[in-house]
Amino acid sequence: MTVAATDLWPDDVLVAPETVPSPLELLDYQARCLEQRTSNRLVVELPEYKTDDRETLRFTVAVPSQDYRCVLFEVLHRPGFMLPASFIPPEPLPNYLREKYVSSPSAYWSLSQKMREELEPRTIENQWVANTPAEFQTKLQKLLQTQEIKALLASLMTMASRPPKANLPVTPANGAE
Amino acid sequence: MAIVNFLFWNLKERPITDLVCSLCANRQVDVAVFAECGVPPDELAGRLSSLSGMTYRTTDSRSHRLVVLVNESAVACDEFYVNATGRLSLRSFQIGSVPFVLAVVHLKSEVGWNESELSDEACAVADDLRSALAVRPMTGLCVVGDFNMQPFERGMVVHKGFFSFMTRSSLSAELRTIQGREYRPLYNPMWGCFGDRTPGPAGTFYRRDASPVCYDWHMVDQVLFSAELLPYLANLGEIVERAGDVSLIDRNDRPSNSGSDHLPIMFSLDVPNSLPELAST
Repeated sequence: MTVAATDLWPDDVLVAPETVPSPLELLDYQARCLEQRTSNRLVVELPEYKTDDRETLRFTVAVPSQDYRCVLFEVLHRPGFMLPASFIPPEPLPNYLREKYVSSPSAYWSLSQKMREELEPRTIENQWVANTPAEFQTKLQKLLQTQEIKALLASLMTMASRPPKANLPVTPANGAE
Repeated sequence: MAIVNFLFWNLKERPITDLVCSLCANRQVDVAVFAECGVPPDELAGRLSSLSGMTYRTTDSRSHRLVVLVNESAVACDEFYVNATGRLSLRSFQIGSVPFVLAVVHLKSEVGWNESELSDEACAVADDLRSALAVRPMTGLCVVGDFNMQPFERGMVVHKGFFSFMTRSSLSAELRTIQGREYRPLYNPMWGCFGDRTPGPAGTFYRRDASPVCYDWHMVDQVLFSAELLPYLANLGEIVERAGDVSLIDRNDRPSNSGSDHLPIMFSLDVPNSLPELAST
């Protein structure tokens, strides 16, 4: 008796390319959206830093009127391969500003307890790793909704609403070449 | 000429505001930089002002890791860059007639990372610094903070890292060329504070364990200067062992429990005495 074979390939990676943009297209599109929605009071630069084993794309938001730059988040990937990619979110807000946080008792443990724990194998789950374009889109959306990103954007918008700074250095972000 | 005093201290989130105030008042600190500050910056500035008799203000920043307070009458400063992790914050300073960039860092600690990974991270942060400075006119540069590395470790000395040297004379050229690319060397005076043959503690952080290589003292809190600032250095970098009347060192010559587990460092610039330009904050 013959058993019917099953298609075992994962669905999310085999979606038609026209339905999910590539990571770079998606980042570039978010950059243009931010600029459009802020009437270019905020502009985005996407510089890349390369080492032997990885490339880091810095999603940098500039406030041209204030000559200010803030790296909103980073995306790490291997040279030549955009996926898998790992998002590096902004630093967490201090506890007194967080909507929710986990209070760890570790600060009260003795050093020897801490050292013992560090020697034991631990499983670390990285919630910011994306393996497919669809995952990249989902995680980018999740990242852009975090309290930290919202707080940074609000702060940059406030900065952009101030009167332009005098004697700005000549930089691409403020329109000078 | 006017002397401007800078302090850097990793407070380890300990409630030692009184000690901080005492140190700032006693040493007439004009620019106070803190890492792991567990107190909201405005609150700290308020307490510093009321207890020291000087007027401190917070500076606008998008980094939550690093706090910079300035004595209002002394200096003007504006943050113009912060990296993704908030471990690097750049500020344009104007003290008297001397403009320069103050880079404040708090690099990742060694916990869970090996030496090679820490060096790579230092190189990445140093590249953040170079990229942010590349679009600005070149001025003096001072980098201060908790590097979580010793001055001799790779991330501190390699050209793609902080490219720092132990002597001023190494900065005779403002730029050095390596494989056709130019890199800016920095002077790291903290080399001169190692060991017990110089005044003060042997390092800024003490940790003794049973590992085969154990230095006991670590010089993780450091300050680096570019060539443009060398003529203005009055105090090159000193490890502070007293906050007013309180010793930060215990009877075993180690950082005392009354303070942070890091000792503070101070340095001073002696700059031409003209009116500072006010920051537009």
